[in-house]
Amino acid sequence: MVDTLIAGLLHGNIYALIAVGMSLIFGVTHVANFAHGSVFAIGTMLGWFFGAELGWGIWPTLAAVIVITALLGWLINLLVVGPLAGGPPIAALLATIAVAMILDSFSQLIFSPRTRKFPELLPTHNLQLGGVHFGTSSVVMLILTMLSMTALWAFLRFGKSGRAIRATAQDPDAAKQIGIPVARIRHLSFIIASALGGMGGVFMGLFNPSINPSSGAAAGLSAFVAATIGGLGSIPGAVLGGLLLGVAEAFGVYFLGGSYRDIIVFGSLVLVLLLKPSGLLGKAHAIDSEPLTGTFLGGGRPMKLPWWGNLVIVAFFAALPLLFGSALGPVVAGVGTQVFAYGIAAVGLTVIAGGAGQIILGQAAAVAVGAYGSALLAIDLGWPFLVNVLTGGLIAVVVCSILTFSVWKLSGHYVAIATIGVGFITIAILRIAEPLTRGVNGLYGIPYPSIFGIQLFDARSIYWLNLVFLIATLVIVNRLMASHMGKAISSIGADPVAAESLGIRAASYKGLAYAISAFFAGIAGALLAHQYTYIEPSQFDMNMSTILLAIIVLGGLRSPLGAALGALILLGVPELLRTIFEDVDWFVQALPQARIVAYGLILILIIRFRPQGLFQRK
Amino acid sequence: MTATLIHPSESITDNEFDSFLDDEVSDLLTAQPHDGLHVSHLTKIFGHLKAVDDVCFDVLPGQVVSIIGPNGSGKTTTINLISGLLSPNAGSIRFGNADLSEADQVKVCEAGVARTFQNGRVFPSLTVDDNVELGLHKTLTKTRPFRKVAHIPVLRWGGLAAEAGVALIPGRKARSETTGFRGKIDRQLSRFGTRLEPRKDHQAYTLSYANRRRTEIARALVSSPKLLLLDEPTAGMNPAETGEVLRQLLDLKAHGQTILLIEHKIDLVLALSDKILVMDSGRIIAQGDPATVRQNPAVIEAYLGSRRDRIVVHEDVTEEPSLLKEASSPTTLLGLEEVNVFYGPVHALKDVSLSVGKGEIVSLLGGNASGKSTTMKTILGLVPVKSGSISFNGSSLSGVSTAKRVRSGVASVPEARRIFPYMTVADNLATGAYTRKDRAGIRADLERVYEHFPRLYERRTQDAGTMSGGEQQMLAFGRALMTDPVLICMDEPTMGLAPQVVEQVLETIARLRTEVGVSILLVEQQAELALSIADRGYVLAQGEIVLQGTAQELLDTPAIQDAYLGKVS
Repeated sequence: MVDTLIAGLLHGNIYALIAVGMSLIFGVTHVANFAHGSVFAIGTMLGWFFGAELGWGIWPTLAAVIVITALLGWLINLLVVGPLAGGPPIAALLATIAVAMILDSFSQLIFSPRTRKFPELLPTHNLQLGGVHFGTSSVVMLILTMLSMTALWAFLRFGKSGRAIRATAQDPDAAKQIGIPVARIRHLSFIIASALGGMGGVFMGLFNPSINPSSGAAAGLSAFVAATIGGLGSIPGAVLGGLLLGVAEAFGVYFLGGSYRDIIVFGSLVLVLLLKPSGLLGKAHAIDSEPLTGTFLGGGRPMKLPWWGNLVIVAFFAALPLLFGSALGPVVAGVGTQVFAYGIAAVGLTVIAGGAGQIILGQAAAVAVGAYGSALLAIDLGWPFLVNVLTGGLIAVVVCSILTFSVWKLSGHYVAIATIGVGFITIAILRIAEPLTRGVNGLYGIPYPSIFGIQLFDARSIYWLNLVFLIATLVIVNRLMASHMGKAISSIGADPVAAESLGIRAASYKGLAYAISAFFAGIAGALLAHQYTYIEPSQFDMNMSTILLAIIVLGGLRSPLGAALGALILLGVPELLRTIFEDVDWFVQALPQARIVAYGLILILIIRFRPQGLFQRK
Repeated sequence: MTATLIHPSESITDNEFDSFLDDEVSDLLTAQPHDGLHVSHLTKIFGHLKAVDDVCFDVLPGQVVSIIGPNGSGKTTTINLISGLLSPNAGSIRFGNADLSEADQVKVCEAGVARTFQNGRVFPSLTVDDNVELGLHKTLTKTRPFRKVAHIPVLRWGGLAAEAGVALIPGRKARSETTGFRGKIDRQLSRFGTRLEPRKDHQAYTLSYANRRRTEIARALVSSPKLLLLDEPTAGMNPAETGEVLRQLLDLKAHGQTILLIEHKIDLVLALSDKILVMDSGRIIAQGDPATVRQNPAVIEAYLGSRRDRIVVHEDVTEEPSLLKEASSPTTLLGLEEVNVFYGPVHALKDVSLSVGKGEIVSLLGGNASGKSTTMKTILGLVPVKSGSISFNGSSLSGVSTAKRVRSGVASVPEARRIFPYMTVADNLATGAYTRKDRAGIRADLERVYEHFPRLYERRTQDAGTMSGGEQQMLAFGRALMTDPVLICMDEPTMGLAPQVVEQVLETIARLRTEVGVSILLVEQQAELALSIADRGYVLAQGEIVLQGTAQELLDTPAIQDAYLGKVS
């Protein structure tokens, strides 16, 4: 028990270091910086590099890591977040997600994705107190954390720049008027936060020596949860939230098992958001600083094709697998099948994200529920394929609507953040509900699609099947959005206050828009399940959610056709490249990461320079 | 709720209405009779501020009632309370038979009240047509089946699902309801002649500012509301456009539309209103018909401030009394030459030229939204200048950052003080010295500030947000002094303060000039107050300087009252 408490406190200690940085950045810039977890992860990897590869001791390692991560933080603000200041915070939030994708994948490219052992820079089991073993390592970590927190507190309290940071956080306009260079102060907050994050990264390696480049994303999200629990923008709150979450997680895992970790972390996130969105120590005013919904898309008219243009495109894609020989044809069809399934989910996502103006960061959850629903109906009950797919969509609607039911009360990007939580919780439930879902082992033997008794084995038939579903999705979504109901949904995305003044219930229509999105995500998931014939929970991770979002940002959030074309570009192009260069070893190896880096870059460039997306006109 | 859908023939009996028997007017007349809006003892508190304080008034059917009053007097809050955007701390709102005191926006809307917003909140991504169509949302029954359960949790999902179904496969009735829109929407658009009709397929974000306002008005009117709430419908419009809106509103009035209006353009208010309510500091200080209100001394005082004796604190009389000086003094410290500023499509400052000489107090006067604050922000480099030049101490300020301007001696006391509420008084003052490096000078200035404002010394460890308004104002002065200024720009330093505190603040400003030797540009709405300490003054109206002269000249000019309260017609 004491061991668990100590482990919880140490882990919480690290959360606190990251959470403090997130809170600082949020306080000063009002941006929820999702790249912060990646900075932290890079801190871990750099610590490994300096300690294990170069054989440096703890102090030079720490110093070097802090300098490099501080620089990285400055670059993030200089290149990505800073230029978006003054725009809608959701744009900056999305951009930081893109930065996280780039940093994580880049780190995997440089350090290779394998899991390795962090060097034991300080002894870990040399001390004993009252029967409990611990090491110099833990003592140093605790002392350094306390020292840096105290230093940060003193700096903010008494330092000239610290005061300027506080002034900027409280009232940037007034700060500007008395001559504080607000842009430089924002840089400073990123630098301080990232230095602390880098330090936390090294500590993570010391605490839990089995590391890999992607381990930071989860820690980053947990730290973000910690910061939200404490109150975004409140430094003491972040420390408190970090320690609380660390201890809660340690005890939760101790009593319930490791698969409950995400439920504990994100469950507490959703709970805090619902009960006290400003957090335990946050000031209530922090939350309503800006209307955070809506639309960095601003104006823009989705491109429409004439009827014959649509026909030509449909004919082209229908004929596509036939244009290649019997060798390449099925490969093209396989890629196309994947593209169409993602396209269906993305087209659906435009209803909530583009129409109702609500970014959803956990849409993979709905895909997963649809996939599992349809697969289980087929395996356990032996229902026919088409019924399963449609029922899968409906199950996704019901399950996801229940999970998100209370979330719509929140405002702005707190909803987006809560949907991350919903995404993680859904996957965790799929893992835990083992009797039904077979847990982490996944579901085997999902039957291939069959229509009216004819089973579709070959790649081309499944390709055509998905094409038909995609076309139907496009027709339905376009029709819905052109109806009065669609306009009502669009109106709450554009201006919920004005919409309510016309008698349009914003929360209802947002829920409806989400239900429509979840339906198509569920259909896409069902199609994927019957195509793969094997599914397991980790396929539906945060990456899938982010790719779906990237697709519609690329295509234009309000353009269903753009979403379909976005899927074609973001999924089709890398797959085709893989097929073309399948003999070039280094290329094939680097592709998975390079592709995520490319997604991230595309997202950042689109948000910055063409916020209405590629397929929307200004 | 669906009263507006009753067929005209059911209730029109009177022949005299024959001439109006197009649908729109008959909609109005057949609306369920209501006995108007009754607001009593309405109160809304934000933190320590009573934004609306025990407000009572009625709007009877067919009446046009206007609310006027200076900035921050609680007008928009009142409208927001009535429309359900805010809920009151106390008091009641009754409309017809419905008690709307605790109603949300949707309920208020369904009771037959439509509104517009101060800044024209149209849906930018939707077309003009679609914007107006959404105004009909509350009248729909076929495309929104089961709408009676829309407010019931869980059950409402049935309604929503049905609605999605109808949207996908509309039945015959739903289709005919949709085609029925057309006539109503077109009628609203035709109200504005050729302004909107050719643009009905354009997305609203491509519209001019005035056209957005027109779209918003059409959207509010299309459901034939029993009561129309208009929040500054002509803000940002030029005189011709304003005149056009006035004609529209007069036309509506002639058709019996009940309207509650907030407006700063007094000419429009005088021409339109049956009754005017004047608000100040959250209270109604006068009400009555236009002629009476305009002559009411309390109203004149609320706008212009009470006439008071000039404060003369000049101790050394080496200078000529500034009253006799030329309008532009030879030792110009700050000079603006034909400055033009735009906010998007709105021309906020039009060829504004003004100057502040060394050691002068110059006041910049004008009513709401006349461009005073914009002028100040322009001087500080917070808004971009389209054309014209600004010079300070002989050098041009174009392209100079705000931080550098502050360092060269331009300090500011922002509107509503804007001290940092969660920092101590001492920290607030220290923040003021951010641009400085001379530690000794900073310490000396801090002592001097504490000497001037002993109250701040007493409260130096207290969070600034916990102090009274007057104390916060002193802190804002102190913070500005800590920047070691040559010129202090002050934006409405007397706003929201009690009369005796106002007196104190004015004396402080006069003292700052003589004792610290700074020049002051004083942006004020209350002309009489500002001119009692100023040497010279400028009067802005709709972004243009319409009057200038010495303080005494301006005080003696009756035209200044017209600039605020409109001309007697």
